[in-house]
Amino acid sequence: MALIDWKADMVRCERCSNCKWVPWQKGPGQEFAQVCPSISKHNFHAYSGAGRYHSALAYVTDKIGYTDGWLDIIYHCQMCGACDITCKTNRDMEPQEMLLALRAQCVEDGQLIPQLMEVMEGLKDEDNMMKSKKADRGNWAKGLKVKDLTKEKAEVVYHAGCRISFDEGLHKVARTAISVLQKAGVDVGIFGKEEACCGGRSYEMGYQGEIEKFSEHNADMYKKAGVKKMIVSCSDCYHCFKVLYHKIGRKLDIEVIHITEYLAQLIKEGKLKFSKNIPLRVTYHDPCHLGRLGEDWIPWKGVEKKVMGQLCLHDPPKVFRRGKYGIYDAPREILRSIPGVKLTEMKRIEEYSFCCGAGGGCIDSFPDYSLWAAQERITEAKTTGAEAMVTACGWCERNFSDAVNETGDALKIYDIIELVEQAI
Amino acid sequence: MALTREAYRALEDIVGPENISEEPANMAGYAYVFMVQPYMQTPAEEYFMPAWPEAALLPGCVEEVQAIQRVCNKFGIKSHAFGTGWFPGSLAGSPNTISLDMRRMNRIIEIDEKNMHVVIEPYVAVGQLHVECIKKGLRPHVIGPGPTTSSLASHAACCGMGPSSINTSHSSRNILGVEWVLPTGELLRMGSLGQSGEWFSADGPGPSLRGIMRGYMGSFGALGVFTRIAIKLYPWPGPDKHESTGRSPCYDPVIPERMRSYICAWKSWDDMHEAQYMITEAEMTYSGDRAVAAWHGAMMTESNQEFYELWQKGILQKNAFAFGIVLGGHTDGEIAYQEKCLKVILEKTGGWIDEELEKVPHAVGSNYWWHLWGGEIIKGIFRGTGSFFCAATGDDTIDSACLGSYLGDKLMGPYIDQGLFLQEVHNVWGSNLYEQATIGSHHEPLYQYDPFDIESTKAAIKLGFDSVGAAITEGVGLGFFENAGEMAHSMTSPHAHGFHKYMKKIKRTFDPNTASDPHGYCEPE
Repeated sequence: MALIDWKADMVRCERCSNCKWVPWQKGPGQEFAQVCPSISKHNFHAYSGAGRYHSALAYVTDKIGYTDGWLDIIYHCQMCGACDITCKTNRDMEPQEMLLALRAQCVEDGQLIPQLMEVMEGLKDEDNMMKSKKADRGNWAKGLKVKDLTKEKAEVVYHAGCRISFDEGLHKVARTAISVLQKAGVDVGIFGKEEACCGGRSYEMGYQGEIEKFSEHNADMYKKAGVKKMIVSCSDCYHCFKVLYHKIGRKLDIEVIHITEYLAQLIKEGKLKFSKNIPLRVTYHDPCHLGRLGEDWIPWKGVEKKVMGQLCLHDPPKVFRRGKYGIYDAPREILRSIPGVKLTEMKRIEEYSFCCGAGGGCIDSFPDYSLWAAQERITEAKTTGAEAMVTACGWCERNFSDAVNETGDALKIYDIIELVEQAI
Repeated sequence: MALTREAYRALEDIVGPENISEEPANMAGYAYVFMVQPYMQTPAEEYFMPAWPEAALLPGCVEEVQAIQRVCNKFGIKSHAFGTGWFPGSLAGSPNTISLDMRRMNRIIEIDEKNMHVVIEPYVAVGQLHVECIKKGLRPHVIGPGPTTSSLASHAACCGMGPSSINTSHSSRNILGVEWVLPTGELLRMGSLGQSGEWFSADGPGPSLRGIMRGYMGSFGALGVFTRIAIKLYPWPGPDKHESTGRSPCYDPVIPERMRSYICAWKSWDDMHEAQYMITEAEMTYSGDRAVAAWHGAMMTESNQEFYELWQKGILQKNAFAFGIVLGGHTDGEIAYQEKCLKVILEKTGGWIDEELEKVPHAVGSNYWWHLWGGEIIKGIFRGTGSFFCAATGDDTIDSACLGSYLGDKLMGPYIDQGLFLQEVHNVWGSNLYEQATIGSHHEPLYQYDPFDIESTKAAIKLGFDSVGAAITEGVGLGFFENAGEMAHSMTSPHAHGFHKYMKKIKRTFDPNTASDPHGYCEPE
C-alpha cells in the first residue's frame, strides 16, 4: 500500500505514546521501560512511531515537505517493530506498514541518504548488503565438507546470508551450524558463492523493488536444487524468506525454518544430546526479526467498513499480526537444555525486546546511533548478572560484539549455535 | 513568525544544539493530538493544532527552564511546557510559542515511605510511578488517561480524575511541595518546600497558593513550568511486583491474593447511583467507577472485530448500567468484610455480577488493569473509532452525576441514532466519587467519533459546543472540556460568580509579559 493509503491510521493515532513504552501490563518501572531505540536516543516526539505518523500526516496534507531534518527522522529508525507491537497491544493499526510505505515514498521521490545509496549500489552490483565481492560469498565454507547445491542434491539448504557470509568474525556461526546439522544427521547443502541476498534489508530501507528480483532468483535456485527445507541462522533472512516473500505474493514452496526452531525440535526428538557441562550465566536477546516480526504473514485484501455507526472493521475481517506468535520459546528451550547454562531474563524480552540497533540500515547509515542502542541493551543485560548475552542473529551478534569491544566490557556475546556446539 | 536568530541562539546556548529543533517535521509531532477539532472548535478538515510551535526544546534541569523563561520574556516569546502531551491543552496553541518537551526530566527523586509521599519530575509516567511505589507498599493516585501519561502534569496543571478517585481523590488534592518556575523565570518553592525544604505540604506558610496554581482544572502550561512536585501516597494491599501472563495484545493480571475485580450492574441509572451512595458510605473499595458497556467490551477484547462479535451477543448491553470495582484488603478479614459489604449492597439495590460476562476472556483482568492505573483505556475509547469527546461533563454530587447521565443520553442520542458516533448505550463514564463522594462526583458523557470521517467530526464539534449551553441550562456543574479556554469561559463564567475575571488577574500578575502560552487557560486581564 502507498503512503497515502495509511492516512486513516495517521489521523486516528491519538498520541497515546504506548509506542514508546514496554507494555504496562509487564510492569516497567524506572529502568528499561522504553521500547523504541529511536525516541530513547533522540527524545523529540517525531522520533517515535506516533511522531512519524504525525509528520507523515503533515506531509500527505501538504503541511511539510522533504527536508534533511525529516529524512534524519525517517532513517534514524531500526524498523524493529517495537512501536508496531506496542501500538497493537491497544489498537487495530499498522505502524510498521506505514513506516515501510514512508521509506518507499522517499525512495520513489528520490529522497535518499548517501550511506544507504552506497549499500544499494553494492547490492545491485554484487548481490549483497555488505559492499563486498560476490566471488567471496562462499569463503565462510572453505574446508568444510558440505554438499554444493549447484552440483548436488540435498533435502535442506542452509542459507548463510550476507552478514554471516562476509563478516569473517561470524563465519564460525555458519560453520558451526553446518557441523551441528551434519552431526544430527541432516542432509544439508549450501549454494556457496552462488547464494544471493534475500532482499529483506533493502526492502526495509525503502528499496522495495529489489526484493522482487531476489525472491524470483532464489525461488528458482531452490526449485532447481530440489530442496524441501531452508534453515537460516540470520533472523533478518528468516523474516524475509518467511514473511516478506509471502507478503509480496512470492511465498516459497519450501519450509523456512530458523536454526533455533530446528535445534529445539532435534532436542525434543532426542536427536541432539548434550554431553558437556557449560557453567555459564546467560541472558537471551530476542532478535526483532525472529521474535515479534517473525510470525507468519497473514494475507488480507479488502476494505474498511463501519458498523455500529462508527466502529471501524474490515471486510473481510482482518487478522492483525501482534507479535504473539514469534519465535520466543525455541531458543529458550535450547538454552535451558544445555547442562550448566543458567538463563536469566532481561526486563525487555520477547515481543517487547529492545533492538540491538543494527536494523533498518542503521548499522550502515548511522553507526554511532546503532552502537548506542547496542550499548543500551548490554547495560540491561549486565543487570541480570549474566556473564554472556546469547542471540540468534548475525546482525545482533556483530553489533553487540562491536559495542563490547568499544567499551572494553567483559560481557561475552554468543550466537546460540556456539553454545550448542560446545555442549555436544 | 519564526524565532529571530538572536532568540534561537540564546535558547540553543541554554539547552545545547541537540536539544532544540525548528525542523517542521518535528513541529508536526508537537501540533497533533486527538480531539483537536472539538476541543479547539476548529474545522473538521484541519487535523493539526491551529498554531504550530516555532521550536521545540528539551530542557534537562530546573536551571535551564528558568533560563528559557527569561529568554522568552526578553524576546517576547511564549513557552508551553508539557509532560507526555496527551491532550490538546498540553500542546502549544498560540502563535509565537515554543514547546518545552519535559521528557529529559524523568526521575523519581525520592519515595518517602515514612511520610507517604513521592517526589517526581515531569516525565515520570503514571505506570512507572505505580510500579516503583508498590515496591515500598504504597500506591499513588492514578488518573483516567492511563499509565503512559505524566503524573506531575495531572497533579500540577491538568485535570486529575481517575478510577481510584473514590479513595485517592482528585490530583489537586494530592499535590504537596512544588518546585515551580514562574513565567518570569523566577523560582517559587511552594508550601513546606519553600519554608523548610521539606516536601510534605502544598500549603503555607500563610495563604495557600494551591488554588492559584491550578484551581480545579489546572493552568495547562499557562502559568509557567512545574519541574518537581511531591504527591501523596496511599497503602497498597498487594505484593511488591505486578505479575501478568500471556502475550500481546491481551495480558492477564495475576490478581493479588487479597484483591478482587468485579463488574457490577443494575437495571437503571437510579439504582446504580443508589448503590454508589452505599458503596461510598461503607468506604469498602480499593477503586470503583462507572463502567461503560462498550468501553469495557473493547478493553476485554483483542480487536474491534472481536468486540463487535461480543456486542452482538448482547452480554454487554445487559450490563449497561455497570460500575466497576476492585477490592483490596490488607488482611484476610478486611477483604472478607469488603466482599460481604458488596454482596449486601447488591442485594439491597437489585444489583448483580453477571457470571456470563465474567466468563468472557480478559473481562475480569481488563477491569483490574483499568482500576490499577487507567490501563487498557486506549483499547476502551480509541481503538473503536480513533477519538472521543464529551457532552456536558460535570463535577458535583452523585445526584448531579445522575442528572448528567440522563442529560448525556439525551444530548448524544440523536447523533448516535444517525450513526455519527459509535452506537453504544448509556455511555457516561465517571462517577469518580472523590474521597467516597464527600467532595463530589465526576461524570463524562463520552461519544466516540471518527476523526478521519468528516461528518462524524463535524458532529463532534457541534455537540461539543452545544454541550456547554446544555450544561448551563440543565445545571449539571462546571465540566471539564466545556470549561477550557476563552470561548468556554465567556459562556460559563457569568453563571459561576465570574471566576474568569479572577483567572485573568492571576494570569496578568504571574505572567506580566505573557511568556507562558495562555491557550487552554485564559488571556491576561
